[in-house]
Amino acid sequence: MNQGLAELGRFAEPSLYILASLADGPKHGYAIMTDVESISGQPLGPGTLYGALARMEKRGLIEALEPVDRRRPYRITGLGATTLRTQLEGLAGFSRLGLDRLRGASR
Amino acid sequence: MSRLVDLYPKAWRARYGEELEDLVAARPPGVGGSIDLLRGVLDAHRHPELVDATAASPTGAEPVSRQRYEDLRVARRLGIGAWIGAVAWIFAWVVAAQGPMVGTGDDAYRDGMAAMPLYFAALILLAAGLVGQMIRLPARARVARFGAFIGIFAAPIWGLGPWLLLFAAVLFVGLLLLALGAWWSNEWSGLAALAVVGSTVIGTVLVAVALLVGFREPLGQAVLVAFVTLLTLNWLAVGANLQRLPSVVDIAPAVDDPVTEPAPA
Repeated sequence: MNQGLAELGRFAEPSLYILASLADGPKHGYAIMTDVESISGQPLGPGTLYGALARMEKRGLIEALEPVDRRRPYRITGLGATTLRTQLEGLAGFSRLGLDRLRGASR
Repeated sequence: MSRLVDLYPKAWRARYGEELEDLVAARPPGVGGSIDLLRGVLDAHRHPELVDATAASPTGAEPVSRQRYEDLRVARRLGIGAWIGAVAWIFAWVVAAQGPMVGTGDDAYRDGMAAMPLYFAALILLAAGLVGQMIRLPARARVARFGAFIGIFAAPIWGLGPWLLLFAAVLFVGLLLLALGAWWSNEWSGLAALAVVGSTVIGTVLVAVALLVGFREPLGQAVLVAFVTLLTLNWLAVGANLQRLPSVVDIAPAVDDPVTEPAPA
């Protein structure tokens, strides 16, 4: 049931950050933007943010909640959490592999 | 920069537009952010499948029924009629200004009767635009609807003759109620309401002063030109919001999806 993020093209990396941002609870667009920027250290433009949100919502990775004023919070779904976990475990494995090789090379 | 959001496809704006406008208002994008927004616009046009065209706006606007949509299309045509009325209004006064002089000396006056058909048509078309407003405005916009309602009757009667100033006054009161009520109900933009209120109030004050003080020519004529020009904004404003049709139509499925036969083992 897992879906990779690679098919999202240029939205894959922002989507991963957005999923990570939503992992600790629902957030609306502005909160996601500031949180992602603090996580990644890179600015996240409004066009990219909503392009990624639309794709993730379409794929069932996130879901929109009832709006509060003009702001609508988004929540990560079970599928989104699974996808995030898979992606992060893949990155962790890659990280371990790279670090092990660096350690091996330095001996 | 929030105007960049208007470049997104209609269905996309219906779904994400308010959120994005709020985001842009809370944190105005710089040059980089604006370029990113433009890329988002292009992406949204390239991928319309990302947004369900039948989805309701997430922040309150409900999808309209097919019947309501058709009604709003009628209102839009009436709004176009109001715009044509603006042209008729200006031409009526131009024709009146070209009329022949009748009489001599202090009793001389310009005969503007040739302009009467245009003048009447202009006010009938304004009334048509007000009918469009009655169709468009929701029941909760009571003040605006009341203003449009009295305007529908006052406009054609004033169209019978410019000297019927009592009906002009009633029409102006109706227009003011319409503009302020529609703005208060979030149905008109502040700019449209300001155009109607400003032009009507200033135009009325100008003519009232001209009538009371009795401006000498050419000042009196200049006041008349200003009055006519200002009032033209009413026709334009009445037709303006009628041009916006909802992008979201509630489409009920006509038939159930056919049941797929299971593949043979």
